[in-house]
Amino acid sequence: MIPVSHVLVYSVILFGIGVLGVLIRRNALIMLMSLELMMNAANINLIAFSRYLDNVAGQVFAIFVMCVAASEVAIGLAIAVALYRNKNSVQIDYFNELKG
Amino acid sequence: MEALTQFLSHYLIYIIMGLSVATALGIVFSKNAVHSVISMLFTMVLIAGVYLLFDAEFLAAVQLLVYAGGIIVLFLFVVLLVALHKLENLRLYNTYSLFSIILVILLIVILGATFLTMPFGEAPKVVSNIVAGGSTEAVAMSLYTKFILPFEIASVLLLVALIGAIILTKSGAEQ
Repeated sequence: MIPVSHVLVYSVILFGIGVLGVLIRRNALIMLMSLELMMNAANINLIAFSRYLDNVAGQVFAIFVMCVAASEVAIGLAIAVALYRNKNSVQIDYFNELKG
Repeated sequence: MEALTQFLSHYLIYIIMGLSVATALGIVFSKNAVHSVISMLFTMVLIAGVYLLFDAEFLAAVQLLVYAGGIIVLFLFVVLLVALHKLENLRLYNTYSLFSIILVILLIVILGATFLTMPFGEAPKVVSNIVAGGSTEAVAMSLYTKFILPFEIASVLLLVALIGAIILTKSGAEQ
């Protein structure tokens, strides 16, 4: 098995790519996909530590994270469809009504 | 043949990790949103491979079913629904992209250096709690005894998400 620090670095890289996607893209759908990537990076940590500490609780937590991620995607995509109905676009440039 | 198995058992996980980082970059930097979805599909399958190499067979199957099977199809459906071809001449990236990229690279370097210097060490060769009778059985035993309350709350959460998604997409059509 590889050292656990390599897994941590890998999941930090995946998390960073997810943060990057949320920060630089202007398409709401791709921002949602990047959120999923961040959740998966957290899941990799949970599962790696579950293997390294020989404790199954990490895998159970990963199941709950997946559950939350699935419901988040369902709600997020429903919001995206509702926004598209309102503004005829999913670019975040058009959603600026709350700006002061 | 022996050398190949030896090589794979040591380096397969690094190969999968590298490929999944490449496809994850494909999610963020694709011009076409459909290509992003396809990249995400590959990323999720490769992450399922990583789970498999960490003796989490059940989680790998759930990852394939939930992400590669469900969420990707949902994303593809919405991406095709919102007619992205009309958005092609719009700006792809934010104004402060370069600043964001520098910040994220800084984050990765700082956190990565911290993790590499931590004395975590190697994994145990034998894992009795997880692999005794397969990790699926161990997960089920834990999920239905110790974690029964969070499990029930998760089912309510999924129900709420289901109803919420239906109401959110329905109310627009009635107005």
